[in-house]
Amino acid sequence: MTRHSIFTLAGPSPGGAATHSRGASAVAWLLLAALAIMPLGFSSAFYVHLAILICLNIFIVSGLALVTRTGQLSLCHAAFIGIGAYVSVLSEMRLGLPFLAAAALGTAAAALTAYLLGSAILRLRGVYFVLITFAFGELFRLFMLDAATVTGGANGIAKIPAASLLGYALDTRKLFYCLAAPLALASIGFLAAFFRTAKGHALDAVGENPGLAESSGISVRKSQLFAFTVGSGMAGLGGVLLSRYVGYISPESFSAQVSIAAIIMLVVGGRTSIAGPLIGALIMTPLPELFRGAVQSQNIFYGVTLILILRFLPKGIASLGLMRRLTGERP
Amino acid sequence: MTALLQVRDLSKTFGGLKAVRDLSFDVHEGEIVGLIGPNGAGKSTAFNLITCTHPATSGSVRFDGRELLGLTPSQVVQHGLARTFQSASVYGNATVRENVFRGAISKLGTPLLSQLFGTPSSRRRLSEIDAEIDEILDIAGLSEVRDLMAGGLAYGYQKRLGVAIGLATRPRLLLLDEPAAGLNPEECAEFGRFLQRVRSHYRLTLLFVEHHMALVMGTCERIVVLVQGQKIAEGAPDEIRANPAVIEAYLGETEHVSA
Repeated sequence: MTRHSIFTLAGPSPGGAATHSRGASAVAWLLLAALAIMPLGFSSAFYVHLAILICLNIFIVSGLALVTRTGQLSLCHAAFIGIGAYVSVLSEMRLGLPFLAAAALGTAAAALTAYLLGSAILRLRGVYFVLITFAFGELFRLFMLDAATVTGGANGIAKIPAASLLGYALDTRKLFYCLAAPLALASIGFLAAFFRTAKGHALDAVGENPGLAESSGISVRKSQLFAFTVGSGMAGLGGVLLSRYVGYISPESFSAQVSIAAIIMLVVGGRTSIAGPLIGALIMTPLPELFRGAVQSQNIFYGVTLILILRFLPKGIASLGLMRRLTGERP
Repeated sequence: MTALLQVRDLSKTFGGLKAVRDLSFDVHEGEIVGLIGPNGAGKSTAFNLITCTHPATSGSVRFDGRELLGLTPSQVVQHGLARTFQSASVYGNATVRENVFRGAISKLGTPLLSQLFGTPSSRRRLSEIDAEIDEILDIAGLSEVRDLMAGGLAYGYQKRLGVAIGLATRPRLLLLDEPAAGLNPEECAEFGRFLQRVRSHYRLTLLFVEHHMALVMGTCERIVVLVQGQKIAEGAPDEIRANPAVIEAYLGETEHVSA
């Protein structure tokens, strides 16, 4: 039993975790902690900016990972980010709610919408589900454009006040990073702990063989609805933070492209791994910047990188030997 | 004594085709009943109707006095009626032990939060489930392969694992869909012994669809014969073997048998 460690998918009650894997898991957490603290020492504002975006992406993609683990691919993840952002921004700026209450309201609105949408469409499978979620994402974007009196339409909403905790406004990049990084770590920790519980195993069972899961007493519908609600709620909270950090939102900030970018991060990082969202966000967030010297061909490099990863690492970078040793997951 | 499973006038129509027509039979507590018939007789359809995998057109299925039709398959399982699949159906990317654990999840009954924080009550429940899983693995002869990935197992092992997953749901009645299909004679004999072990240990009632006549005649106490969606005979193996209608259905005209 060498594969039990923090990220392990294996048995809910390990017979006896080997010391080797405990070591590996400690190394993994230490690396993560070092990685999380590093940006505080950056002098370049741009690097801190990148670090914040990476953290927000980790959080958002972790939500998507929860949904895809049950075998459903959502193309409206961006819409839930948008719902979180718009609901929290409007309730703070128009209704004067304090930040924390607005954030809770935004997250709850995203989760509730996902619950209602999921109740209606989760009986669809595969490409049909993907198409309907795509349509819902577009519907959301067009609705935000159309309801200009409330949402500002295509002009969006600017001058969004900074997030504030306990009376302190998180109005500098580094202060905001102190909120984003722990949340990103928490999302990884949550997925790691969750997929070791029986409920987590049930979600994996549904994702791998829905027919067998249903005939072993696990309700496919309830499991997928749970994952869709919680995962989309996480997207909502991600949207709350994104709006406070950027200070500006418009319907175009939540287009299908954003959903696809999240899916790409998940696939590149590793769909079936707890570390997938982390690795995907770490690589794909700064990637466009690497190719910035070649603005003309930037998208080509991006595309080639993607094709190479999908061709040679279909289970993502998390399936590499070194990564697996750190995360304790099996191939 | 009322039967554990009462199937009454069960019918299923696909377009104009009547796949199952007014099927009625009983299964009593503790029995082993076989459901046989030529290819396309509607055996698997009948199975899917009883387990609510497909909706029935009309009729009734009562289990322990409760109507099952209209429930979802996962609710049926929670009432104590589990099934296995025709092809080996396992979770290939999980270990054998995890496969059986997934079968037991619906019986766990601890809330998610206490699972997440590993409260004493949820740990106690998990260790109970662990003991049950060990017992099931032992009976299914899967103890040695418990930490291997299920996808890499030989077919015979996968079929027994399929039954083990069903057992983990703690059923009173287990429905087996062609458990011996694709097994070689040796594996098949072993499978028959396994079924006997399972039944005597868990006091299970078994209903199975099977093509393998030796297994059916050797294991079943009562047999129901389906032809073109209709029940043409029901009785003990010896009666079925001698029944002219059954012989005709299986071998065509009776003259051919004597020829």
